[in-house]
Amino acid sequence: MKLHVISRYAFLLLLSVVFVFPLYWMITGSFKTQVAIWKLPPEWFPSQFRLLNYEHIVKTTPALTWMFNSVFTSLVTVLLVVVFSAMAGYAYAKRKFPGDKILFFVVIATMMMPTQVTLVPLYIVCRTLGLIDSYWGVILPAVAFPFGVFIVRQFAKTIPDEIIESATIDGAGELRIFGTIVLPLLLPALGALAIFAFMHTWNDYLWQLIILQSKAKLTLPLGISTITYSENNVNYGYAMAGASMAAVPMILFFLLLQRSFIKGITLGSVKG
Amino acid sequence: MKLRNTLWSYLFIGPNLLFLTAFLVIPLFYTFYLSFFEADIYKSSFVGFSNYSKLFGEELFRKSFANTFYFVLIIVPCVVILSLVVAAFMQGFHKHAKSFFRLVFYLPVVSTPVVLSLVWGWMYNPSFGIVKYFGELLGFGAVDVFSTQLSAILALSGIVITWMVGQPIILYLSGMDGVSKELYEAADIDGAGPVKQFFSITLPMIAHTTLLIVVTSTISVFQIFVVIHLLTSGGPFHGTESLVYTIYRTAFVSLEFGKASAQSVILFFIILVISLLQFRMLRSKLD
Repeated sequence: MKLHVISRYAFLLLLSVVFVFPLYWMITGSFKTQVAIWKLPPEWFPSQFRLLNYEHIVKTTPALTWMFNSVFTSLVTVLLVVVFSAMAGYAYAKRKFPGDKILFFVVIATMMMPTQVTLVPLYIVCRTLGLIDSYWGVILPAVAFPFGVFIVRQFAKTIPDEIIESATIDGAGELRIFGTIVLPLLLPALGALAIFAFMHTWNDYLWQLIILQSKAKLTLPLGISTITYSENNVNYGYAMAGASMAAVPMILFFLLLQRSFIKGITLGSVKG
Repeated sequence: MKLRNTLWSYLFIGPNLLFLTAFLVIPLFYTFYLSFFEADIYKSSFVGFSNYSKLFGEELFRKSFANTFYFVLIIVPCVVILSLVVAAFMQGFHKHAKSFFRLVFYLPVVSTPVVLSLVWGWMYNPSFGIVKYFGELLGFGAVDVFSTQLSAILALSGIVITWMVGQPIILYLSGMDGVSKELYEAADIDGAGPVKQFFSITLPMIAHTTLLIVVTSTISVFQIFVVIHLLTSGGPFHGTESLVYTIYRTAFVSLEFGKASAQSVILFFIILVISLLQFRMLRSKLD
């Protein structure tokens, strides 16, 4: 029995190395000189830590602007997604109105439709609306996030009707009920949703690749992917510094909010 | 009173519905419409089904179709088996050990596909990457993983798998926690070992989770793009070109909007079939 447990630990630890190694390699690589990066056998631990890759990136590319663009567009998207999803999810869960079943079916149907299918028309729609190469071109399509409504609705179903009814009897208005009673009860789900929506926008590489054109408008993932190949020879030191700048904030964010991440995953999925 | 109530309800769902309509529903119908036109940015002319008939005769499109299925056939089983094994191995571990491993396997999920693609690009580099180093150490000689179709597909799949298993592991863990302890106690009394218990109790009890993981991961493999765009650009000889990558190139490199729309419609129908399965599973949870 003991051996059985130890071998399980050993297997998982070995696998963990495979999973963590690329991130270790990226972070240590970002401090290496070009010579150290080319070294074979590899320099498993950098003999010296140098900031020159970061300096180079910050000096020669708008990396800090890219960082701002990513954070800004993601945060605005999250804010809009959370508010609109909370409103709609509450209504679909707790209110009866003509067409509620059909409209919620639309939500479910769009939730399962991958956005890749609509790239071309979405581009045309955004061009018509004058959103090409703008922050709103990144943000507005990302606000159409039906998954959020689904999560909130599932969660709002667990709120007892009596709470809402007694507030109505006490004479509270619609906005008051929503703002002071429903919204606070939804907070755990909204936290998880916020994280999900954030990651979704932050990682929506394909759409951002299409909609953004000028260098100063790029988001961080998009920007750093140009660093590697923009100069004639591939410079992985620069690429790793850029990649670290994109990954480390997200990783820290995850470490801080682990519970909400995990809640979001199990909340949004179907359990048997 | 009733009218008031209705108006408020529409006010609550309104903003969300507006966004869904403008950026998902209308574009979807527009895709179907455009697929019958020969269109670029400036002009369009009606051509009926000719985009479709041309596509099926095109070798490149058939190839990207096949490639996408290769990716599905490699990645989906690996994701299911790997996440199942990891979650099963974690059963009975101390709380801290559990959350440690959960964290480790979720790290790639949060570290952005672009980042992982760049790092693996370096590790796969044929002249100074770590994979070459190990290849030589183990006597394979220097390996250029992106030089043949098979090795390129496997190399890309490996990367995708690392960022796809995090979610299924967490789903399996919560699924396995939900299996009643009494079943295991009864099996213990009957003298069933851990392996037998796993196959005759755990596996059937979490079958629903497995189905969900198969469906959702299949859908996400059909959307594979970033690794291909950054690491192989579809090569060697279009050997790693996926459907979404083909759509992207047709629309935004060749600027053939009509043809790209027809390709999108085909992708739509493939995913629709898989999604219907997912919808049946969702329905049990909706009410």
